[in-house]
Amino acid sequence: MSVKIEHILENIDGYQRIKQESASLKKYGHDYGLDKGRTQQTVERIHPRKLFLKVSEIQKPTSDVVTVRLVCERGTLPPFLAGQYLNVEVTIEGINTARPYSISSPPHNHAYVDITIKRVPGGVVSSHLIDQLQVGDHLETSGPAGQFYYNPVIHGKKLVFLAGGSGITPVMSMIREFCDRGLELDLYLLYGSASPNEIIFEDELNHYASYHSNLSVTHVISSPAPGYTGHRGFLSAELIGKVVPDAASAVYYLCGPAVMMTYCMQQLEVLGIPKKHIRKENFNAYTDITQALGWPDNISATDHFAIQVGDEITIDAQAGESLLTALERGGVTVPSLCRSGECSLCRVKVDSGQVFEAPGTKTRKSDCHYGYVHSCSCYPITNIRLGQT
Amino acid sequence: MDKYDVVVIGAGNGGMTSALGLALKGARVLLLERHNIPGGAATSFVRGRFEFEVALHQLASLGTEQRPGHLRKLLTEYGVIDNLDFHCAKHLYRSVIPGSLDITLPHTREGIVCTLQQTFPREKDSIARFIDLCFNFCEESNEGFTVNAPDCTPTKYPLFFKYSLRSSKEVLDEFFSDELLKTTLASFWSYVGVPPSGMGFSDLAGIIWEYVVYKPFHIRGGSQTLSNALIDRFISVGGEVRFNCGVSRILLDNNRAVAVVTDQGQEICAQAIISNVSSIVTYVDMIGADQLPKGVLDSFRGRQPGISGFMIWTGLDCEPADLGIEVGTTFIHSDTDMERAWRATKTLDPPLSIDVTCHDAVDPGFTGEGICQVVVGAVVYGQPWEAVPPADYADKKFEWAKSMIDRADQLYPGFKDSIEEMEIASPLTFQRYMGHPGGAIYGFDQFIKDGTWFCGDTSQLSEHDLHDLPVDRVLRASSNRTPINGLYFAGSWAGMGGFSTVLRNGATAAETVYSDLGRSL
Repeated sequence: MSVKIEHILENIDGYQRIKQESASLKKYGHDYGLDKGRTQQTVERIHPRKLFLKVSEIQKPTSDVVTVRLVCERGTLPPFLAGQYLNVEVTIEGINTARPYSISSPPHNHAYVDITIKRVPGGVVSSHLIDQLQVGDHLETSGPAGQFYYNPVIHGKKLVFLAGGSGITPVMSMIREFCDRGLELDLYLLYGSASPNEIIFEDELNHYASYHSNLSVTHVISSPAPGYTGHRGFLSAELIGKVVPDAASAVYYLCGPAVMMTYCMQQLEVLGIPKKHIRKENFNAYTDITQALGWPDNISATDHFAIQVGDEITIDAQAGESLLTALERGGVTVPSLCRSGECSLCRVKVDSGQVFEAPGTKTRKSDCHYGYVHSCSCYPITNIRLGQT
Repeated sequence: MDKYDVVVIGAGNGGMTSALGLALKGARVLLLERHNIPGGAATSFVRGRFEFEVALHQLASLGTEQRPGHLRKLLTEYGVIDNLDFHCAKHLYRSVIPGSLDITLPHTREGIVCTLQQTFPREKDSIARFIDLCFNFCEESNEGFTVNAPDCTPTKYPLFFKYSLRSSKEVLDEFFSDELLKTTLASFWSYVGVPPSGMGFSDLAGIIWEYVVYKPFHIRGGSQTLSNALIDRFISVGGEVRFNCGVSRILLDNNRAVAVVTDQGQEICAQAIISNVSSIVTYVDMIGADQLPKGVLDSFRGRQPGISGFMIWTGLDCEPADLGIEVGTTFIHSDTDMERAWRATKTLDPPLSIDVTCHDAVDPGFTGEGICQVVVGAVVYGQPWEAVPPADYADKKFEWAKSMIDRADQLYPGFKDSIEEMEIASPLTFQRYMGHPGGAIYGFDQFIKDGTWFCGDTSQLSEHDLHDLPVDRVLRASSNRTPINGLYFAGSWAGMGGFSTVLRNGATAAETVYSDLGRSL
């Protein structure tokens, strides 16, 4: 301590007393040298950066669906909320990419997690996983993530699940949890499938419904064979009103393909359900971006544009593929998580050129101002130069 | 191998201003950030139709163009002020104990005195004297006091020498008898995270003086706007930034920090390394206790990671006025016992003192038309949360959230039913994103004994440092230096927490590094 400053401080009331306090605390204080790695380890118990998993079982409930049971190879499975997903990393033909898959097993089961994968038409990753994955294979995934879950503080006691196709997976986790734990909730599932043999988890759902009087399960088939006697068509306001008593007082959980989501949102509007009582999870939000509202007429999905990254890398990209997909194909590593424009992990800066941003992308206001975009939900419509990332 | 003049680890408030400060002076600076976005706590996230402000409550030290505070001067000097839009809050805060206290303090000195005197007429004279003391004390210590002043003595600066190390509680007890009045004035304890008995009077007086002189401000668009503006400026003056690039190690050579190693294994050399990471993590995890010069860790022995937070961000489908929210900041206490409220922050019981922040009440349209955001929060320690079994973690978070939301709803009926989006952060969430031990949001605890006077390393101060600078400034500069050559700290762990303080801390780090490297740049 500089003599001059020390001399001044000594004249301040209480200085010696606090200096002594400080000295004795130092004497009996904590040795931080013992804490190596502690901060990160504490976080990892709840939020591991990565999960190292092994396939322990594969079930094929229908021809285009697999349920993959995963156990932990290192450490223990972290906690998650029913409805959350894992982002599964894959390498296909030398390209590193990843896809988010909802967990279908319930969170109180700590021994394994199940993810259920449905084949997406033209989907390289889903086909790869369905056709190639074998028991004993290793998988690396993100930790659990996502905001599609039940919040007991504000979501009340009456929950209606509107699920379409593989959109049942996060809902399955919730139903399993709520039923197994005996939570006092009224649960209504309206589950839309294309045909009766495409219903995922049918037996288990019916089983739960027969044993739990607080769960009602309604299957709806959009294009049934002649003679089908169950509900047909879509998850309409009329049907919801029939199945759910006092439908206006419930909280709704929507999960399924984009078309179904759009339809259901309209139906909920008819029923007068406010936004705050609707939770949504977008599955395969845009399989064809050129169909999205606002897509420029003069550009087709197969138009080619150059993406310049730094001075050395130029990637030949197509308008119909997201910036993220193009970057991954070009060997540029961009972290990603939700791949639906929400989480912002794949944020990059566009220094010049134009992208089309998928409707509903949740970009921060100031990011828009400074040219940052979520690469998973932006599509090149001119040549692009990316900035420092 | 890459070589830079300066590598800055972490693009939090302190990292950003230190990097920009040096880049503006022509240094070749590389800024490394492990997240995908700059800002650290100065950031936002989007849920549904809401962009939530993460950390900023009331920006201090900004001031007006006519009377600029140090932050406005800094942002002007750094060339970013024109890209930012600020809104001044008309009130300091509303302080409430349901059933016994409900008072709203305006942001002027006369207004505060008048409001307090109306509510507590029996202590009329003491109120005027106390506020006078706060102002006179601050003016002495902030504006007049310099180390090299010829008569730096108790005669010239009586208040400074008498009150600098008093606790807030001591001084409040000296002036007042009404506990409700003391609670009103001590409400800011949660901005510092220590109880009135442990919080320096200088801190309490300082906060009141700062907010009255320079006013509390909110940033249009939130703190991410400030972070993006700083980074944009940094890049435009030749700085280089890499996101998604954490640093795993700092390499020493003969007690000099010479390089960093990124998480991807890349080694990057620099003449100076500024760490915007917690000093504990920097020393213990990035350098390694066995590599450190003797005694370095001993300087922390008596210190504890400071308080963390439990925050609930809510997006509402209504405007603040619909719920009767008229002020930006509301403190809700359970009773007048602030000491007990602080002790409760070390347990797993829901907090007794909470605060409710609504940016839209200050800046209508902050969130969007017809909607608004309200953040219900409390400062609490991280340690109890580290002991929560992972399987119980979510339930515990919801239990706390329910308790806090219900209390806010009592004061602002209809609040709970208006919630459309909600996100909850526990101390472990802060630990996850900030990487700070204990999820500390302000660095080390900020008791009186934690002040720079007792913790800064002044052994390396030069005559230049001492020359004509306020003593506070000298000690601040000393806290950026470390016993390791070429290694510097910027951020809350090298001083105090809070936006304006840390932004300035980074700028001071830049000046310190520049004066050390000077000729070699």
